[in-house]
Amino acid sequence: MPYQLIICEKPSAAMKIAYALGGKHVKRERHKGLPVFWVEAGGRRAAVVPALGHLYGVEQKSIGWSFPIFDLEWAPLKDRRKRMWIEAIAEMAKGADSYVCACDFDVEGSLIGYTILKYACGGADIRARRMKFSTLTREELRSAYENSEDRLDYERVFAGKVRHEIDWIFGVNTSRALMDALGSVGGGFEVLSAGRVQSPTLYALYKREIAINLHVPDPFWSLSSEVVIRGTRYPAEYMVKEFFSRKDAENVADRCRGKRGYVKEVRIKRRTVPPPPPFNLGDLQREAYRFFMYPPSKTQRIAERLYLSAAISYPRTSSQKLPHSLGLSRIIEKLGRIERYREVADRILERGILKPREGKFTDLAHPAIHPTGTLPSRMGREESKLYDLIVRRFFATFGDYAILEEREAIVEVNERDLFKVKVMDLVEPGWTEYYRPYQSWGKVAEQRQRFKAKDEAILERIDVEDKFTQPPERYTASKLISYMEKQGLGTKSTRAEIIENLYRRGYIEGREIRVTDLGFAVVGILKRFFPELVSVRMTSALEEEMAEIESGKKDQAEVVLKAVEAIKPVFERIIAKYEEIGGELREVMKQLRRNVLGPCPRCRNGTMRVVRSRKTGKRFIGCDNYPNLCNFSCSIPQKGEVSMSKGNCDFCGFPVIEVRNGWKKWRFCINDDCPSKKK
Amino acid sequence: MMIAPPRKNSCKVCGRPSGGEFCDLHLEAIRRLKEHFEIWKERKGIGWKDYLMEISKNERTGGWVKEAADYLIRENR
Repeated sequence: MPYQLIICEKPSAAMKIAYALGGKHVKRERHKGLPVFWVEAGGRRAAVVPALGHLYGVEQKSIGWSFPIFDLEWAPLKDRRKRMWIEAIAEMAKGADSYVCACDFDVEGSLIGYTILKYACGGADIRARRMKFSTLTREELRSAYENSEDRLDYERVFAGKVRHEIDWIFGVNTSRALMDALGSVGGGFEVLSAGRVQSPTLYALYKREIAINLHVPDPFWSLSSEVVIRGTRYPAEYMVKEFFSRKDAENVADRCRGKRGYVKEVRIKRRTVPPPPPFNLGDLQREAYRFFMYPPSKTQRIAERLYLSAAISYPRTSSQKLPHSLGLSRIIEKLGRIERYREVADRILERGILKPREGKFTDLAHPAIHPTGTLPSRMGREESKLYDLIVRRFFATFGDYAILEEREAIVEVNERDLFKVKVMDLVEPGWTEYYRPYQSWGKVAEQRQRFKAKDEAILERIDVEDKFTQPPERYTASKLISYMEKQGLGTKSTRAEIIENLYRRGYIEGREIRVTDLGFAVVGILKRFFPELVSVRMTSALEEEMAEIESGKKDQAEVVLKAVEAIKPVFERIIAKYEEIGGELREVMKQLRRNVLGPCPRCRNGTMRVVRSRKTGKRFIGCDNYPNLCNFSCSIPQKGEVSMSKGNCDFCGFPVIEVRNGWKKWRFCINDDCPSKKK
Repeated sequence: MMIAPPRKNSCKVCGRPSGGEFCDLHLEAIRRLKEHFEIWKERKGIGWKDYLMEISKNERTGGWVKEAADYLIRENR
């Protein structure tokens, strides 16, 4: 008997959907390794089957390595398990008479469903229905099934398709060009990559690296002082913030030290601070970095796990809106059943009218990230932390404005020297009470009448401080996400992955991001020979056009053709300059290979290299098979040139390295557990 | 960046290929060192050598500027 085939994005989502639609009567089986959930849905038999994310991808159509290359096709990905599942889905499709796409409702999800329906199910995409949901809760899934759309969201599908195709054309061609150029001058083979979004992002880091490395600090001086008013000591700021001569600063300090003055004027400013908007993915990644130091990619992974366990709504959203149709009071009621949220939930519900503060960003497909009220039975430590942040932020959006009072006293000494004393008091905590411990300005000030005009003020301490101009700050992953958002580089779903890729390729390192010599060389060459590839303008213009496909304003073929037209002359130029580019790359690779110290003594097939820790920024020796096959590491001095020494350690037989810093030289065994180090 | 022995057509500071005495980055570092010396001279009243020493030990100094300063100290330039 024919059945309905429901395609889901992942196994965990398929299980949720199956149990939401079928209740307790779900029959589980495996068909050639593919999990199949049989349910009765809408009065008929249905098979819910999962994918493993993308099962199809863009590939070169012809055979062989060539450059430039534009002939591409959508084909099954190389992964064995994915290929087996494609076969199993294709067989399941033969017995089906109707199809539903129940993948995540976003560009990638729609594309995953479309490629499976089109290629594995014999063009079933034109007959398929589309379920639209933002959370994996039972109620929403049932409603999404009952009200499913009678066609796929093709605009979203095509936007995703074009993104993959253009990224492939840019990425494969530029990477091949770099590798070919290196090979053409006998520089050997090295995996080098460049990409449409990756290269402008790396270029931004490169520019910052240059500014930091070329920074020359200039000296200046400032005064640090404390004033006592009504028996309380306050830090004070002199009217001139920077002195360009130490003598001038000292003159002021000498004539003011220990002097009595008076409060000439008191200025009071009230500041109202509105509640923060609910989280979209970028905001969540920034806050999770601020409080837990989670890199954006990690936050995204944890949020996706929370979504799959139905604890929160779909996280890949740019929306800062919480429409009432979400059933906000019901969500708060459910959260109130959890002990640690009871008090805040009750207080919000007592207010009666629920009106969350919303931000300006919207998303056609999903609301802002919010808790569903369903608490999974088990949550790991990281999930719990992120969940708590999301819940408290959700609560905070229902809070009142917080009120701060800024009191500023102008103190005059010697009838000519003015100092500023600033005090900030919390008058009304407002929303901050709901967002604790993530936002707190302390307790409400009991005594706000700190000082008034004509009060006596004594300048108890005044010192001259030596200062220097600072270099620009390094980007962190979180700041880089903000930069990419502002410049329109990548999408909410791809940004974290692009940064992760830069780390994986060895182009950047450290939590406070440094561009490595390899990253520097690659972006330097791209900038010199193909400035278009590192330009933010070209990439963000393309992003805009892809967004227009999603909103149905542009045709997919037109955008792909335009992108190819734009990139073709760049590739022609590459061919003309092969030798020049290759020559430069070869020199760089020679330098970089100096960091290679030889075979790994632990796993034997890896190579020891001098690398930098992402967490601490400190260098050490590590195996390039880390983290999958080998975890060998050895701490080394932070300065000096590292090289292998002749002979092995007399105690443990491990290799010995030499570190040379100027005329100083050290030799030591690379085995951290060597008995020679324990003596 | 490691200090490597100078070769023909290589930067005297870092050993990388260059058109002249220094690579572009170290050339720019030296240019900036000279430019900022005027500020230091005016504000601290120190000479070129003391200035280079101060720059070399200052933790805010950029990596390439520090390498260039160390080179100039070493070469007594």
